[in-house]
Amino acid sequence: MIERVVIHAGSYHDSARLMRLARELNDLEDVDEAVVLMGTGMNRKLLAEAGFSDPVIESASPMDLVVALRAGTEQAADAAEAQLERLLRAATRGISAGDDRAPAASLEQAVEEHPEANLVSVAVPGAYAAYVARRALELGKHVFLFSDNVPVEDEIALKQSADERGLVVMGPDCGTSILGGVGLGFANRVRRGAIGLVGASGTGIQEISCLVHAMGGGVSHAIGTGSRDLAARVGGIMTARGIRQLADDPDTAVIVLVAKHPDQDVAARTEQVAAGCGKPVVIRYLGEPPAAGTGSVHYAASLDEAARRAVDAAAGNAAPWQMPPATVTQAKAGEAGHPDPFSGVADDARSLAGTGRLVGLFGGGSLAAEAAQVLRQAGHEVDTPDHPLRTEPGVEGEGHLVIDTGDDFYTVGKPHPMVDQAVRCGLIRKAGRDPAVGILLLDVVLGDGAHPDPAPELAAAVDAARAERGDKPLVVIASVCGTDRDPQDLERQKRLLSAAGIHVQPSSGRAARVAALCATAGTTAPSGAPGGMA
Amino acid sequence: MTGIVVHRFDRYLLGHARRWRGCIGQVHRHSAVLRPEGEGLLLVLLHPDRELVPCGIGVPWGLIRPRAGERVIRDGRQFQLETGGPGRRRMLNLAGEGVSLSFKEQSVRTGPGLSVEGLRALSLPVRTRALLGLGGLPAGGLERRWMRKAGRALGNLVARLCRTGRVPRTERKRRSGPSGPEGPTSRPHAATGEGRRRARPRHAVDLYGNAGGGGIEDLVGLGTGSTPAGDDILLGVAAAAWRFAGEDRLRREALEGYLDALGGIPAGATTETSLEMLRHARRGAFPEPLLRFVATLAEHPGDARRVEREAALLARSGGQSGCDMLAGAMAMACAVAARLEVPA
Repeated sequence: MIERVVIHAGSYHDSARLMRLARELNDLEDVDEAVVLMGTGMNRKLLAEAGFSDPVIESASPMDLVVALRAGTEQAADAAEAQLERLLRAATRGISAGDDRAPAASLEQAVEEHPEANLVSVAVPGAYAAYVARRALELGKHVFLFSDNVPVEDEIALKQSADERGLVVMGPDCGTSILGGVGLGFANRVRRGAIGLVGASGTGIQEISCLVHAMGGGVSHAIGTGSRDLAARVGGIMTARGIRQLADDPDTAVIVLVAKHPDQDVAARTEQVAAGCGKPVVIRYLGEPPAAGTGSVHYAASLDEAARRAVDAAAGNAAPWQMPPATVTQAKAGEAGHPDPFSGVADDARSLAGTGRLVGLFGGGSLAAEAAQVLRQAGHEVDTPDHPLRTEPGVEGEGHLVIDTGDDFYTVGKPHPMVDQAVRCGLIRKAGRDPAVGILLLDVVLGDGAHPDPAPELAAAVDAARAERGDKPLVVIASVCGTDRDPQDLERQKRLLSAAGIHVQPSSGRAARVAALCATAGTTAPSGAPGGMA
Repeated sequence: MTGIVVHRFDRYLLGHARRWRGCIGQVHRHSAVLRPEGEGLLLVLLHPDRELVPCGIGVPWGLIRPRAGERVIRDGRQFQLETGGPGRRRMLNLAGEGVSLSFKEQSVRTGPGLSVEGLRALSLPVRTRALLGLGGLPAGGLERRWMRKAGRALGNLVARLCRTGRVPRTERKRRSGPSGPEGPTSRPHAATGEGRRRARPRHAVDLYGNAGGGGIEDLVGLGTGSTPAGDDILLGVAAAAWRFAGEDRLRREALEGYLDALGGIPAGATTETSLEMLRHARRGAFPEPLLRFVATLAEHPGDARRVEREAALLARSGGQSGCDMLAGAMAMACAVAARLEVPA
């Protein structure tokens, strides 16, 4: 065993960075242990007690970074040391003041340096976001407002101001937009095409855009509006503007609107705007049964159906409203050019021997809401806890659970689960080892901004959970929201998940339907899909 | 008023370091340390997604973009940051009363339901549970070694705090035999009789302490993290000690003894940031999530969900510091609860 100590004098990093550093070194081949410590007296003593005898240890001060390594070979220790240097250099480069060109210190300076820009992306903390967004509007720029925790009064004022100026405010809390093929926030790399999206739901936009891409269609623009836009107080200002913008866009032939829980009056006004825009509009309100459409407006029962109808309409196969006002699954495959996106769901479910409680652990909030609705419509009682899930001694409660691991109480001070899966993987291990839990339902979101390689971590968590269950089976069903153009390699992600015994479904809606049928323990699975689809 | 107005800052700043000159030291992704010229307080600029720490100021990070080496001059409520280059001068103005991060004399009575069993049943992060001797220690190596040391020292410290008001700064190794995590059996807890009620499992850190040790020296500067874990544990203990002092739950002289001990930590014993945080702990000031967790624990100890929620928020603060502070506060609360449960 090779022991090595490396000291970086005066190298001070925050704890989160030190944790990542230690984790990356520990993941290296033939490295048994890597510990990153500050060179305090107690830690120097600790190293000596643990057998590290390099005299350099005694030269360390509390402000020095000490990395202690145990590796199988000299080569492995050398490789770890080289990796350490690389990681520390990268860390320092990212935060130091050594850039050749100072970044703009103010919005005005940035606009001066880039007069051609017509959009300002705002990601400052909520308390300051309105101030920056207002300045951007005053400078005549559209705004992509990624920040959350912006007071609703500020949101209303910003959107009214933007509307008067003919500008768009995407947000606050806008996770996804795609403008002219450029993704903002979390976005998938999709083909450009004739379908325009307006959405008050980040993962809803991502899921639809990926489904459109998979079906051979393409996206002209996707305009995020922020999750509160269709609330009564905000009044759907930016949803209406987004629809009008897309109606005026010559590259857009069909418009899809996706949102969660709109206020009824606002929804009615939005429908009027949609009906008068001159282009076919498909609307999906997540977690709600479809309303009856009017004129060129059609309400879809699922994201899959919305994507299918939009693609067919854009291709000239059928206008969305040419389908009878029933759910797509009532249509036979191929009818009116709309193949059933949920055909074969029952067969998939039958192939899985899942019994016991179902726990959905989602990274995407909209997908979690949609899955909960599917389960409820299938007759299951589903709880969505408003607190961190309790897993000791077993998973809390007795019924099925759907958890959005992007909820604030999981993410305060932490990256979103679409970026860092540590919390979700921990929950997978804990929930999965509970013998009362028989089915896990997961989503995996790819694309720019998302985790660079999510499948291995999720697979490892599922493996660990199964190992603790012994012979008791655990059915794991997952959907992957991504495209073949995304940087994570969609097929590889699916392959890794499948190799771990995870049943991969092509969409979140379909995964939820398969899971719902699996959870119908002790009864014969119906021939159609649940959730009002059969 | 010109410049950028900030509302979230430690209220303590309004009465201290009102004339301050220095420069920006380390810049991290979500914080930057401001060093004074000569002696004085360290100040901290924080990304507002980060909760406040003593002498912290939440700033609009994207607008401020602190850079190492920049000069900072404070005059009253106004801070001027500049690199000397054109367009790089920024003004920050503290507005309002700021946020109190201090425990004052506690007049609010602790709510009903504080019990050892209740505290032990809480769902806690693995690292915290390991430090509390509730299982989950790493399989081996240095990580396991320091966690065992820290867990044992923590148990001894809180036991000592509940037994006496004086905490020696330098505690000699006085154990005559194995105890705590490394011993085959544990000694009975002097105050709770826990050891008499049931034998503690082998390798379990004694959450309730034992008769030996108890000095803070065993924790200062120990473990991983930019603020070493042992220091964060001491902060957690301090916060709970402040909150539970009085009311016959923890004798005030015990708290004073502990604060004396913290004041005796020599300058080179740990990192600069740790020393600063421990200095603030002596005046009863703590990072926001720790303050909130301890307040919730004291006022709603029977509301497991509420306590767990605050524990989860605390645990998620910092890289590892939150879990370590949580361990310190939980151990202290358990020791206090155990003391209450001893029949007169």
